[in-house]
Order: sequence, then structure tokens, then C-alpha cells
Amino acid sequence: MAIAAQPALLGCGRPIDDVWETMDAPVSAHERHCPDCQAARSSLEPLFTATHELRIRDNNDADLKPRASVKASIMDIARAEVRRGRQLPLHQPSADQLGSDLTGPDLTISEQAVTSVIRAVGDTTVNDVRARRCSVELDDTDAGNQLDSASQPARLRIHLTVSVLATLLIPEAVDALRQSIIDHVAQELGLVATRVDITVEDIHHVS
Amino acid sequence: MDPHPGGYPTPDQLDEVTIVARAQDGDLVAFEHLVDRYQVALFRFAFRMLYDRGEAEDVVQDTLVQAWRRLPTLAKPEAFRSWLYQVAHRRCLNVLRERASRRTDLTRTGNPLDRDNGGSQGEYDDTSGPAQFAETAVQLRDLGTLLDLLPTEQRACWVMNGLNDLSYPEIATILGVPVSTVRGRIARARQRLAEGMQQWR
Repeated sequence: MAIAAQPALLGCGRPIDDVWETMDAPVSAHERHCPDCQAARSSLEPLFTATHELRIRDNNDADLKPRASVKASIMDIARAEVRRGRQLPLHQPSADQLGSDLTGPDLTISEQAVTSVIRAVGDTTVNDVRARRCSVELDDTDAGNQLDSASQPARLRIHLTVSVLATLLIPEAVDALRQSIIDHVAQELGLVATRVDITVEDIHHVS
Repeated sequence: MDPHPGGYPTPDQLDEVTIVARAQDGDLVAFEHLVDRYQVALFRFAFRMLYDRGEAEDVVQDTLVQAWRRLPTLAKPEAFRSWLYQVAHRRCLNVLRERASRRTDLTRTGNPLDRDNGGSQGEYDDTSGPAQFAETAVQLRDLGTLLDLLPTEQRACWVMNGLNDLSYPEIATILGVPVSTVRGRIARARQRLAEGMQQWR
């Protein structure tokens, strides 16, 4: 067989890869008259057929996939090791509290819980915008101006990356999403989003 | 803007980078979708590399658990699939190495160098493999057996391309070798397989 050395060319100069890739295509004018191509085709034919049949068999073989217990184990481990991120206070800490441990007696919420609410806003309120990565941090500017900080909801800075539908008017969509995030963070978490940075990092098409 | 007329998007309606990005932030729903999307393909790759269902399942589990742990640091979410295969491939090599070291004292048939890391020559456990395997066409059994006889590097490339539909450039990325190396390995694998199938007749 003329498939041996690298680069894998037939006697006629044609790459063997090319022959393999066109095995299921009709015989070309060149192949019809080229003894090298004909020899290569006929030597590859049994393998090509067997490969095709093996793929079909694998796809239809209920045993050729991991048992359900494998996924169950994976998800058990993932749940046990779920990354909740930092804890954020529900009430805005005063200036002298900011440097100290935020997991003290005050009520806290995990960063993960906050970002999941924000991601859901993208999915449920603004069409054609897909929330990707989200991070939140406590907005500690003007902390000293609050006289009674314990009664004030915590203020958050939010950063979100999104993909938007290619045909979307981006400024309007981003403004709508920003307002929607501010509303939902207030309604569902009782927190104040002082700043919502949205980065459009990608566009997508109708799926 | 109108609310979603057809309900909220489910992960299967989202592009992969979005799903990966969400899993990177610890979203379990997104991660579960990635498990659903890749566990069968990874299993088949590992099964063809190892020819052992149990070990292939271990590779799938180890690969996806490691994915969950390391997702936050994945720099390119669009390369998630390549990254998964890279982890799975390394784990397969580890299994083959362990097998080889367990069997160093055993008399082996064939040329050990020809097998790279050694392996289960023709080994097939009917109790753990597809039950009807032996009943299928002779040609299929030939291909399965011949695949297991290929050197590991060639088998990995041939399976990724021929059965798992990965492109030469993606396989090159996964293995960290030039595309020309992948092309050469696949060409040699194809030659051996084609010759083997003809000898079988």
C-alpha cells in the first residue's frame, strides 16, 4: 500500500488524507483514471466501512455510556464542594467595621447566591442577553456618611459580562438590563446596587 | 422589551461559552449541563483507549470532577472541550502506565515497544463490555481489536478524529504537538488498521 511515509502522498501526488476524506463521495474524474487512487480507495474501503459501522453501533449501544451512578457521583462531589464565594453583609457596615471580619454577628449572604439572582435577571427579564460571568463586591465608598449604618442595606458594585443577540440594539438592552438588575437586587435581596458594570464580550445568533 | 414569549432559556439553548462561564462562577445547573453534554463522548474516548468499562468510567468521573474544581481558573472558556479531552487523555495514559508497571513481570506477547505503554492486548471483558459485542459483524470485532493493538499515541489520535470527530488542529492542541504530528500519527494508524483489516479477511 502506498500510504507509508510522511508526508502521506500517493504516487500521483495526492495526499492520502484527501482520499480518506472523500471516500463516501462519488469517484472523481481523476480517481477514475488513476491507479494509485484506485488502489488506495480499495485498500481503505474495509476500514472506512468498519469505522462507519462502529460509529453507528456505538451511538446505538446503550451500554457504551457511563452508568447513571457516574454522573450522580460527579454531581454529589460538585454540590459538596460548591463555591459559595465570599460572604457579603446584608447591612452596610460602618466605616470602623469595614476593616474587620464581616462574618461576625451581622447577617450575611454568599456571593454565589447574589450572582445567581443577577444571572437569572438576564435570563428572565431582558430578551436576547445572556449573562456570563458575574462578580460582586461591597461598595464601601461614603461609608462614614451613614449615621445609622446598621439599618441601611448593603451597597454592592456588580460586574457582569454578557453575550447579546447580534441584531440587538446594545445600549438600550444594556440600560434595560442594568435597571432590571438594580430592581431585582432590591426586591429579592433587599440590597442596593450602586454600580452595575456590564461588559458585552460576545454576540450570538438565534439558536 | 418583551418578556420571553417561549419561557426562560434552558442551558441547551445557550451557547457553550455562556454555559462554561456560568459554571466557572459556581452555577451547578450550568455544570450539570456540561456533564450531560460531555460524559458520553469522554467515556467512549476512554473506553477505546483502555478497553475497560470500569476504568473508562473512572476517567470520566475524575475528568469532570477535576473540571469542576479547576473551572474558575480556566482562562479560555471557548477551549473547554479541548481542556476536557486533555485531562481525560492524561488520565488514560496514567491508567495504561499503571497497567504496564503491574505487568512488567509477566510474559508478554508481541513487541512491548510496539505497544508504547503496554496495554491489554485483545483484552475484552464481556461482563463489563457491551454484551452483544461478540455477536456483531466480524469486521467490527476486527476494528475494535485492531484499535487496541495500535500504539497508544496513534490510537489516541485516531479515536479522537475517527470516532469523536475532533479536527486535527484541536487534537494538536489537546496533545500539545504540531498538527503535522497529528496528521502523521493518524496516517500511520490508518495504514496499520487498513492492513490489519485486509489480513483478517
